[in-house]
Amino acid sequence: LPVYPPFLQAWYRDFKTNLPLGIMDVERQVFGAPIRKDILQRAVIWQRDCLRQGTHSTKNRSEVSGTSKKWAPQKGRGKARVGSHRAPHWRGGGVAHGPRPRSHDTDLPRQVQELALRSALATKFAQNQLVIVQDVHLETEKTKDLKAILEKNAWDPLAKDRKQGHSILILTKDHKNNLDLASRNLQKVHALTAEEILDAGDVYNIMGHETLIMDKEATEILQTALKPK
Amino acid sequence: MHSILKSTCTTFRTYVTILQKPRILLGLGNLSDNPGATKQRKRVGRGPASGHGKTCGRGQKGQKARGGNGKPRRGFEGGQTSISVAFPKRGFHNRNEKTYAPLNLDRLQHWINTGRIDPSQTITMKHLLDTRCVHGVKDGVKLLADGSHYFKTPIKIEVARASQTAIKAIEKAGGNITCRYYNRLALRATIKPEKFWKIPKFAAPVKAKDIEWYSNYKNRGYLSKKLAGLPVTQANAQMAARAI
Repeated sequence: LPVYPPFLQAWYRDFKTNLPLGIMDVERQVFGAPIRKDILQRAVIWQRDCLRQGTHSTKNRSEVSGTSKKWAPQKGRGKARVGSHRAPHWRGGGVAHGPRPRSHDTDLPRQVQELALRSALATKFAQNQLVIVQDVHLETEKTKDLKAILEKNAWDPLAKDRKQGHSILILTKDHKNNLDLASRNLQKVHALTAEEILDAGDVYNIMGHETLIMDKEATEILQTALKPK
Repeated sequence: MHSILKSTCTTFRTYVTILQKPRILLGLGNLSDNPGATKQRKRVGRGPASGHGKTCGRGQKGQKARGGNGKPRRGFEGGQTSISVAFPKRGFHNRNEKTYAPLNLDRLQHWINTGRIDPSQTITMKHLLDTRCVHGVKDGVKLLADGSHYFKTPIKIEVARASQTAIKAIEKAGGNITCRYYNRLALRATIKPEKFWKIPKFAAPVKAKDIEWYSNYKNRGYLSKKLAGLPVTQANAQMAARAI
C-alpha cells in the first residue's frame, strides 16, 4: 500500500505567454520515479546502438584484388619466406579481422526501457526542465513566430549566457503541421509526439534536450502508458 | 549550478517516497553505469606493460603455444582412451519407471514356517518389511513364484504386483491375493504409519496403463469388479465401494 500521495503537483502554463494557468496532478510513479542515472545510461547506450548504421567494411586477404601465386621461391633468396602478395603484413594487403557490415542492435528488457523513460521524465521534472503547457497552438507556420515565442519565454534561465539558444523538445499528442514546419529550421528545437517517444523508448531525446515542453494531452498519454502495473 | 568544482559523484540512494533532485544537473554528459557493471576485456599481445604481451599467456613453445586449438581434437587425452570412448552414452533415464522389490514364494513359506510371519492375519508390505522378508520396498513388492510348489499355506496377502504363477499358487493353496496401486504417499503410509497423525486416503492410479492393469481380474487388481473377498483395509474399503 503506498504511504505517499499518488500525485505530484505541476504548473501548467500558456505556451505563448508562459503565464501559469493552473496546477494539475501528475502521477508520482512517473514524474517522481527514482532518478537512476545508471539505467538512463544503459537506455541511451542501447538506443544509440540501435541507431548505428553498421555499414563499415574492409577487404580481407582473399577479397583484395591480386593473385594467389607464391610470390618468391621458398628457399635460396636469403630473405624471409613469402606466400601471398596480399597477406595482411604486406603493403597493399588485406585487413586481418577488419570490420564487417553488421548490426549493432542490442536488447534492453522492456521493463528497464520503461523505467528509463520514467526516470528521464522524473529527472526533467526534478531539475525544473519540464514545462507543461495547456496546448501548443501556432497560428502560422513561420519560423520567426515560433522563435519569438521561445525567446520571449526564456524557459532556460541560462539562455543569456550561452552563445546559441538552448535545446528544446516539444511533445504533443498528434503531429501539428504548423509546429513541424516552424521548428524545422531551428536547429535546437525539435517537435515529436508522445507516441513516438514511447515506441522508441526515447530517453536520448528527453535527456539530450535541455527543456522539455509537453502539452497536457501528451502528459496524459505518457502517464497512462508508463505507470507501472 | 553545473559547476564541476563540486564533487562529480551524483550517486545517491533512491527511494520512491523521497523526491530527490540531483546535486549536479543530469544530462547526457554525466550519465554512467554503476561501478562494477562493466569490465574491460582482456586484449593479449599489446606490449609488456599490459601483462599479456609477447607470449600472450601461453608460456614457451610446445604444442599448446601454437595457433589453432593446440590439441588434435576435442576430448583428446594424449592417446589414453578418452573418457567419452571408455564410458559412452547409452540409453536414457526413465524418471517414471517403477522398480518392485521381488519376493518369491519359497522365501515367504520359510518365513511362515519359522513363525516370523503370521498367516492368520492379512500380510501387507509392512509385515514383509518389518520381518525382513524383503529388505527394502522400492516402489512396492512384487510377488514372484520361485519355489511355488513348496507353497502350501493359505494366506491373505496384499502387494503392489504379482506374477500369474504366484497368483495361481496362492489360490491353489487356498489363499487370497490382491494387488493394489500405491503411490509414494500411500506406500509411506503403509510401511511407516507412525509418521502420520492420520492415515491419508490412498490415491487411485492416474496413468491409463496402471488403471487397466489394476482393473483386470487376471492380475487380481483391486479395482476389478469381480473381486469379492477383499482383505479389509481402510483404503480398500473405499475403493471396493467405488468399484462395485
